[in-house]
Amino acid sequence: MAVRFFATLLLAVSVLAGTADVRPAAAQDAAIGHVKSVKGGASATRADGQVTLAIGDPVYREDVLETGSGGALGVIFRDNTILSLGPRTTVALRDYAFEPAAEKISFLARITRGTLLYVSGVIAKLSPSAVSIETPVATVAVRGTRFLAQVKDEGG
Amino acid sequence: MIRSIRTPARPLGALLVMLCLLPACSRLNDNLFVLLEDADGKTGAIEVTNESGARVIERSGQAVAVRGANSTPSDPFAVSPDDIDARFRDALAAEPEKPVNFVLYFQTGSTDLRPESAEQLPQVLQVIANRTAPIVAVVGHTDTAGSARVNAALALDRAREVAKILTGIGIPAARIEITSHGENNLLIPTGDEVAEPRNRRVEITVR
Repeated sequence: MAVRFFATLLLAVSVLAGTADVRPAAAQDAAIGHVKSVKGGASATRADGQVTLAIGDPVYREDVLETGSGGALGVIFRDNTILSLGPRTTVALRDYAFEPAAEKISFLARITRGTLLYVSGVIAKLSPSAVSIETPVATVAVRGTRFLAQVKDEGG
Repeated sequence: MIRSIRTPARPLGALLVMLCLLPACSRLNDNLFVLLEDADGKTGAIEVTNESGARVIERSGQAVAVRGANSTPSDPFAVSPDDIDARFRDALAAEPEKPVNFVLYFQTGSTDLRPESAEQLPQVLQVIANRTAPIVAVVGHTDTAGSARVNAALALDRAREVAKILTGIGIPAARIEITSHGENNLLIPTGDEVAEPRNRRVEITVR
């Protein structure tokens, strides 16, 4: 048992050593989620410009996530909510708060084109009314769930 | 660049129009909302609302189509797995692996983990080792006995203790997020001022 534990430990340390990047503490605190899968091209547009997204990258409140044709992107948020985007998709992370101790909870995203999978996390469990997925044609409210949205290009 | 896309798109577009004379098909090409089953086999519900109306979907595999912002959402209708796959294959394939959750308990009046909780640590490490770019969330919780403010601080102390244990066994601090939910995220629902040992816990979520 002790040997197996030690082997597991070594494995964990070696895996982590390769990925333990050094990020400023403040940026880490402000991250609301992380990229867990990317295919083709995916980017985030934020106040200081557009960045290409890679696995492990943080995402922030007010980011606009975008995939190109042939692209896809999977993100897990701090409360375990999952969003995954298909190709040619644009999703704005309009509001996010997950501070139950301060009673501040909110998940508001807007998809303006493309395809999206939403899987609820702790925010929807604690307060379903705090979750809203907007589109140009309708708004979706959830009761602890998993759903897909397809939004046609505006004017398309 | 636009030319190379446009040339083959025309015959394809014409083909799609021909294939889509059936009412069900045209709805599928509208803005579409499809409810799926949760990973645990249960199905929740979604409500699709705009200025013209609202529709609730409560069965998995059912969809609501919305033509435009001024059109009433359609009544729910069934969508076949093939149609779901054709439209959402890439979004579904990009879904990240589900987070794994561990619940740890302390010995009464101590910052030592209970033995059955300490025994879970190798499993925690194993899950972390198998993830790409793992994030380890450590969240402290209390029951509802005592003031919310004191509980928020107490839960944070417990989360810090567990984070200390994790860094002690080799998890880099940069991978760990420490948070307190105080008395506002109960495992066992109770009213206020209820002592409930199962709510005094630290949860580790590996994402």
